[in-house]
Amino acid sequence: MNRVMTIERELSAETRYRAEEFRRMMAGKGTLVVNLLSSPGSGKTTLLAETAKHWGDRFRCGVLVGDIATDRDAQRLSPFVPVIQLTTGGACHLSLSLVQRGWQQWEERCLDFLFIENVGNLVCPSSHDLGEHIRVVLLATTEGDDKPGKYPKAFRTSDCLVVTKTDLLPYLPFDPVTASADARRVRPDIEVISLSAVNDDGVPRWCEYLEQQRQRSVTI
Amino acid sequence: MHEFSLTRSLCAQVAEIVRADGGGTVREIRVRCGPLSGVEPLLMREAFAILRREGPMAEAELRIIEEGLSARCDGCGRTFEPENFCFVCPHCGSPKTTAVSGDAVVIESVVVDSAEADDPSEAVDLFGDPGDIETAGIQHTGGGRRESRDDDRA
Repeated sequence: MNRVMTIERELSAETRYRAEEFRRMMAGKGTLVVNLLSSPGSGKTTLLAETAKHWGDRFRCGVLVGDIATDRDAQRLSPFVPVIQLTTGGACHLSLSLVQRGWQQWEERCLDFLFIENVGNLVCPSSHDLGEHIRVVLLATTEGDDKPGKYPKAFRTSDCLVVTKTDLLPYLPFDPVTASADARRVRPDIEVISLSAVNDDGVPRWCEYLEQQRQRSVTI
Repeated sequence: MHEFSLTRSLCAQVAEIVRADGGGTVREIRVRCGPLSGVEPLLMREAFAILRREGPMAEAELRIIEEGLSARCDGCGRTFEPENFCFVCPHCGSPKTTAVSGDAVVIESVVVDSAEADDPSEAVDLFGDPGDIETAGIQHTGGGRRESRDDDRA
């Protein structure tokens, strides 16, 4: 005999609950968790290296860096900031379980900022809550200013859009106003920061934004 | 590609729900998703055809109901359908709006045949921790598509 069970539960409800616990726990430790999303090659690793250089000893930072293979990004970052490589073995995004497994190695540490450098991909990572306090999406000027509308979920779920490689603007048809307007259609209250990690333009503004977010979201 | 891990989580959650409710054979699973759910229904059906093979949902049908995107304005309280994913309120222009449908994957209901109650504990072990993504699971995708008995009528 058949019986119908009404469930009406989000598939991600349990993961979200675990992510919420992780978020609360990290906030209690004084750590702001930042999840960085973007296409491959938009400058996540470079931005993190420049962020660590800008702050110097002012803040204690750590990076969990996700890649489908190799530890090249971890090697690039390790001269500037402590880093743990998370290799997904082919998976297109990081999961909360992988992040927590990586974090276990640092549980005793007191960090001010924990950055999660997601796998370069604008599709799947946007569906996965990693327990971050803020989600940041990077868009390089080399990618085209019409991307927010093409990848709505990545921009819809992000708190901040960082337009990178602005030093290349004179050579590209990229219009920063079009890009931010497109992003604000899908996420009207998104913060937009433009920068170039090469000439340090905008990096102080980015760091200031992170400091403000930390003051707002965590117990200091 | 992440539909495989989402479907794996779906199977694990359904197996657990059915086990906790006294067990039985799963006949149908109804799932709702929309344009911002981050799920391609076709890929989810393919993943389900692979993952359902063993356990209490081996003969289950996955019905995916595709719903539209809708949002509510926090300012004027009216609902609207965001055209081209534009979440600015078309009524009052407020940027403060909240999606109310079409941005999640929802398990609606499960139809269970109580007469053929198997031991569902096997299924829970088979699918592991819901929400976890193990690379071993993802590697199974290679040979799985040959058995595509799943129902596309949904």
